[in-house]
Amino acid sequence: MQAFVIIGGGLAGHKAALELRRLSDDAQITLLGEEPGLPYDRPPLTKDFLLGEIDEAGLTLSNAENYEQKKIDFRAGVRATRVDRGARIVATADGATLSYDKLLLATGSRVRKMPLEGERENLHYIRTLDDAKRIRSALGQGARVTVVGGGFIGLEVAAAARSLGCDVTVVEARDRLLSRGMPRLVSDYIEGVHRENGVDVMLASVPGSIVAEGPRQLRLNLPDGSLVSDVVIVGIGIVPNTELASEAGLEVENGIVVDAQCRTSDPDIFAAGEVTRHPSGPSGQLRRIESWRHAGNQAAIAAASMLGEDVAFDDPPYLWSDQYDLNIQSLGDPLAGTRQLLHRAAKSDGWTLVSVNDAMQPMGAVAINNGRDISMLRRVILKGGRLPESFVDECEAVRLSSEDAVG
Amino acid sequence: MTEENGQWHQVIDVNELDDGEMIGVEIGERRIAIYKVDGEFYATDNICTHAFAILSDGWLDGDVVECPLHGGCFNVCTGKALGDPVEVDLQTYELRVVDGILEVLCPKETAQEAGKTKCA
Repeated sequence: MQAFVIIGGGLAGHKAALELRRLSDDAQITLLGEEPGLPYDRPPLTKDFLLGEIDEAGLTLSNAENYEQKKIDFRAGVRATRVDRGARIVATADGATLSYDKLLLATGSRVRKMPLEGERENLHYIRTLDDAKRIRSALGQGARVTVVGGGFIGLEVAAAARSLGCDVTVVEARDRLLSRGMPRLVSDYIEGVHRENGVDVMLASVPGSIVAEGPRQLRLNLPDGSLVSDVVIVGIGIVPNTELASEAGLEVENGIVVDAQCRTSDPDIFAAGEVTRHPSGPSGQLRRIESWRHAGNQAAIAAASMLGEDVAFDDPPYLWSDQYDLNIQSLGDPLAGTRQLLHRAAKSDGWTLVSVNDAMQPMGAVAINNGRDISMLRRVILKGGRLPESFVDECEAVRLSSEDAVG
Repeated sequence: MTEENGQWHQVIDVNELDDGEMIGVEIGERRIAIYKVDGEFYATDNICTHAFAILSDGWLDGDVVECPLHGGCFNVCTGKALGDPVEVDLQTYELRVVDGILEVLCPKETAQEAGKTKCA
C-alpha cells in the first residue's frame, strides 16, 4: 500500500486527493491544508461572495464533506514546514512527521504585497475566505473604495463594490488595464465598461505611500495627488509558494518546475496547480498559469501520474472573469501570433478577438460574452488546426497596436 | 394535450433542426434546449446548473453541450454533468413527434408551478 501525501488544501490538492481515491481503492491519502476548514472555491470570493449571493457554506468544494467516507485523511490548519527527501518525510508545524512514497506539492500562491510605507489595518488584500469576509463587511453603500491593481482580481472587486453602491476608484500602475496577457483592444473595452458603470480609472499611477486620515480613513499618495478612501483593496498579483520546494533542493524558477507528467526534479515528488511552471503549448515553453481550470485539471493528471499511469497535461491556458454583465474568457496566448481577427456573435453583442499565426492557426483568443467561440477554438487549438474558413469569412481584421505585435 | 405525467407542448418542426444543432425554446417560464444528435432529438433544461447561462448559446460537440459561460459540460442525452465546474445534472425531457412536429413533455410539477406563478 502506497502512502501519498498532498501539501496544499486548495483546489489542486483537493482534486488530486479525489482522483487518487477514484483511481486507487487502497492508496493511503493524507491532505494537508494550511487554512482552517474544508477546501473551498476561490473564484466566487471576488464576485458572488462579495455580492452576498453565495454564503460560506456554498463555497465548500464538492465532495470535500465526503473525505471521511472516501478515507482521505484531511488535516486542516496544518502547515508543512519541511520536506526531507532522503528520509521521505514531511514535517509539519504541529510537530508531526508524515512518511510518503509519493508527495504532491500543491502549495498555490499568496498575494503580492505592495511595498508601501505605513501599511494599515484597513488596507486589504484578497486571496482567502477570511480576506473576503473582511472586505465584504467593509463594502457598505456609499463607502469610498480604492482598488489598487487593474488586473482581473482588482477589476472583479471593483465591479462588485460598484454593484454594492460603493464609490470606486481603480488605480493601475501601467498605462492600461489588464496589461498582463490581454490585447489592448480588450483593455480599452473593459476600461470603457468600468467607466460606464461609474468607476473612476486612474492609469499610470503608482502609489507612493499610504497614511491614516482620521480614525477610519486612508490617504493613498499618488504621483499626481492623493486619494482618501474608507477601504483600500490591493490586487497586484500573486507569488507562488515555492519555499518548501526550494528548501528541499527541487528545481524552482518562478514556480516549481515540472514536466507534462507533473514530476519535479525528484521522481517521487510531484507538483500541481498554479505553483507549477510546466510545459505549455506546442513549443513546450515553461509557463506558470494562474487559472482555476488548470489547477483542477493538472492536479487530476498529477494524481494519475503518481499512480504510474501514462498521462500528460497539455491543456491550453484558459481563464474566465465575470464583471457586471460581462463574461470574459481567455484561451491560449492572446498576445501570440501575427494577426488579430475580430469575430462578432451573430445573435448578441458578444465578440471574440482571435490571434492567429501566418498559417491561420489560432494561438489564443479573448471572448467577451461569446464563450461559444472559445469552445470551438479550444478544439481547434488542441488539434493544432487552422481556423475554419467559414469562421474567418465572418471576421473583421483588426489593426494591431504595436505592443500587441509579439510574433 | 395532457396526460398523467404532465403536458405535451409543440415546440418545433422536426425539419427545423439539423444534425449536430441545438435550439432553445420556452414553455411558460421554463427554458428548454432541444438537440439533434445522430438523427435523434433530445431535450434538457436550457439553463446551466452552475451559473445563469443559456446552454443553447454554447457549443454542441457530439452528445456534449458546453456552457458558454464557464465551459461546464453536460451529456445532452442523459443530462449528466461531466465535471468542473458543473456538479448538478440537467433535467431531461421526454419527446415525441406528432405529424412532423416535435413535442416536449413538461412534467406535472411544472404545470402546477406555472399555475402558482400566475396566481401570485
